[in-house]
Amino acid sequence: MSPDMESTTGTTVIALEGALDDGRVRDAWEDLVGRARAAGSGSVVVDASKLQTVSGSGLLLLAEIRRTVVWAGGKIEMRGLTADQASLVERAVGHKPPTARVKDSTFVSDVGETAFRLLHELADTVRFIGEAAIDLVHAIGHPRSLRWRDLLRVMGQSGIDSMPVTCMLSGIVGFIIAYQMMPALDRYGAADQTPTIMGFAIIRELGPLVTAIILAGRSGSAFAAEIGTMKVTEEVNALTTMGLNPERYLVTPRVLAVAITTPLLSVFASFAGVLGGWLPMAARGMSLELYLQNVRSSIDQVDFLQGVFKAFVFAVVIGGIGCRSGLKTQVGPGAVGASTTRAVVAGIVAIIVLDGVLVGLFHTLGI
Amino acid sequence: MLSTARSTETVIEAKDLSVGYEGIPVLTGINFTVASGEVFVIGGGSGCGKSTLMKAMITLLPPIDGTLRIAGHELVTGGEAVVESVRHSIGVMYQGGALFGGLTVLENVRLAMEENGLYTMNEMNSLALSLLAMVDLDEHCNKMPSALSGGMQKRAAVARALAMNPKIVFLDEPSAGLDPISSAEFDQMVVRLARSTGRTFVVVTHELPSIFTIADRMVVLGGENKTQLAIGTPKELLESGPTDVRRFLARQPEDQTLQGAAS
Ligand SMILES: Nc1ncnc2c1ncn2[C@@H]1O[C@H](COP(=O)(O)OP(=O)(O)O)[C@@H](O)[C@H]1O
Ligand SMILES: [Mg+2]
Repeated sequence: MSPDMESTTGTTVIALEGALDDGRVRDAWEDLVGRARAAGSGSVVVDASKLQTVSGSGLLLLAEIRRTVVWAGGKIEMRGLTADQASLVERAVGHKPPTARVKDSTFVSDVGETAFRLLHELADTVRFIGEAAIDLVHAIGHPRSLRWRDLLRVMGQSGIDSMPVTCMLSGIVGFIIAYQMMPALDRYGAADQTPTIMGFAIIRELGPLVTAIILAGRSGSAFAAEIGTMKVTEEVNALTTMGLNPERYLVTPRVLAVAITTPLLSVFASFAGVLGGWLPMAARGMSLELYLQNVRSSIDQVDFLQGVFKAFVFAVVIGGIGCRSGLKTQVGPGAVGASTTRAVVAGIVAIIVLDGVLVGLFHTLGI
Repeated sequence: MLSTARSTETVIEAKDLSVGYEGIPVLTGINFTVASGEVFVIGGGSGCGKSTLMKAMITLLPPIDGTLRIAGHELVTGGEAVVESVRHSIGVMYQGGALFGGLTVLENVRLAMEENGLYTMNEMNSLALSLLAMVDLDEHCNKMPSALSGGMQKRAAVARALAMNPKIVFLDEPSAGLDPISSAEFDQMVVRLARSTGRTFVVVTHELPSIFTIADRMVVLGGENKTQLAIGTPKELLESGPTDVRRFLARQPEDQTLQGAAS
């Protein structure tokens, strides 16, 4: 009797059975139309094959479901209606044609549309991060305008709380790299070059990268979830109508916090990574002192600063992406979760791509 | 429920207004004015566009067409500068209160003043406390919002909405999520605040007890054409409004038109 729904990958299934009479239409209307709306531009299947009778208002309900999905740009399939019923439902929709989003999609247009959307998304993200960076500079010039409490809280979470896991992972990565490298170096009798390689690989590259990946998983996702929840509870709207700019109020303290802590964290992570790389050397009898001396002589301040600079850039990008996806949170039950996932995935993709760009840039500049 | 000393200044004016999303109207043909000091209710079945109309009035959604003048500023043609001025003239209580979870009740009320930088901390604290006293929450001023009941959160949100001395206070579905007693208390508070502060209140609600308690005048939205069905005092509309509106106000469930509008 009661309509039951299941969501399989991206498709909302609305299965109806029994009699769809006036009373039931009234009870179920908001729920069913609401679920159709929640499907957004996804696809919806209405399975009416187990429906015994449908009243006039039942058909109206089906028409409303169809209209909701079609207007949102989604796809809908109605199963088990008689030809008469189906035509009635379709005509009811045609009665008020949507004035936008009429789409006629082919494979080519889908690909084009997706590419266009991604480019648009990318441009928007870059713009957002740019604005966040400008706000950051402004905030440093006007420290009174800053939300210090948020800043300190986020610094604690993204800095101190992340320290153990970041250092541990970086240490393990350092160990693995050194351990895997030694047999190869042994072939040329160059195992004593391990400290040199560790210096380069960890301090310029892996320390900042490991730090950034953990930042994306911990802080990027937290920003998206916090701000996304505020969006859903209308707190973001409340800021806006109070005349407080949500971007400045919510984004600046968070991005500034990670921009301060991440470079520091990255220094610790690099040190842990270098230490991890000593373990296989220690097994061969190299003292820590000698190992560190070798590492130090292989790198200079520029290498070190390069790592710190990368960590700073990664932090601003991940913080910006996390906050942006929080602010873009849509309505609906899964919306905050979706924003969080997007923040982490987009954050990690962005830093790895950006890392490649930075490597190229540093190479060109001869650093 | 008409206030005795009502000034005739018009604070909100909608003329042939259409509102909606991305150029697709949800409501068209909206025409009403709200006088200063009035409690004006926007009513209608769920999904008829009450929140959409309110979003347009509080500058969160650009209106599509027509005229929408809030506190003397025209929003359809106005642009960003006007939006800023309108925001200075309004206070909003959102449906769930939308208090900031990381701040105490007092800090929530104080926030806009702090950003404004016009007052010293002592002045802000005593202003915020007196606003909280108006909504009977001064004893709870140092609690976090999560420690308050739903009704208290909404009252705190009203205090916050009043903080910047707005001309117009918007309340979105005050009864939603409240038990009948808290809801009735809330309504009494609205009436009291409207009388004592002389501010204009615009209240979105479909709760009939609320409507009859608080509304000086109301507009009823809905119908097949998604427009306004009637405007007037609740009493007038109940006695001589269009059939649909009379049914809505007399709470007759088999009303087809209003249900048809509920989507
Ligand atoms: N963000 C949105 N985008 C597009 N359509 C919306 C959006 N929000 C609401 N709507 C549509 O606008 C109509 C009116 O909604 P709403 O103003 O929330 O109604 P009410 O507050 O009266 O219940 C509904 O049909 C709803 O589907
Ligand atoms: Mg609403």
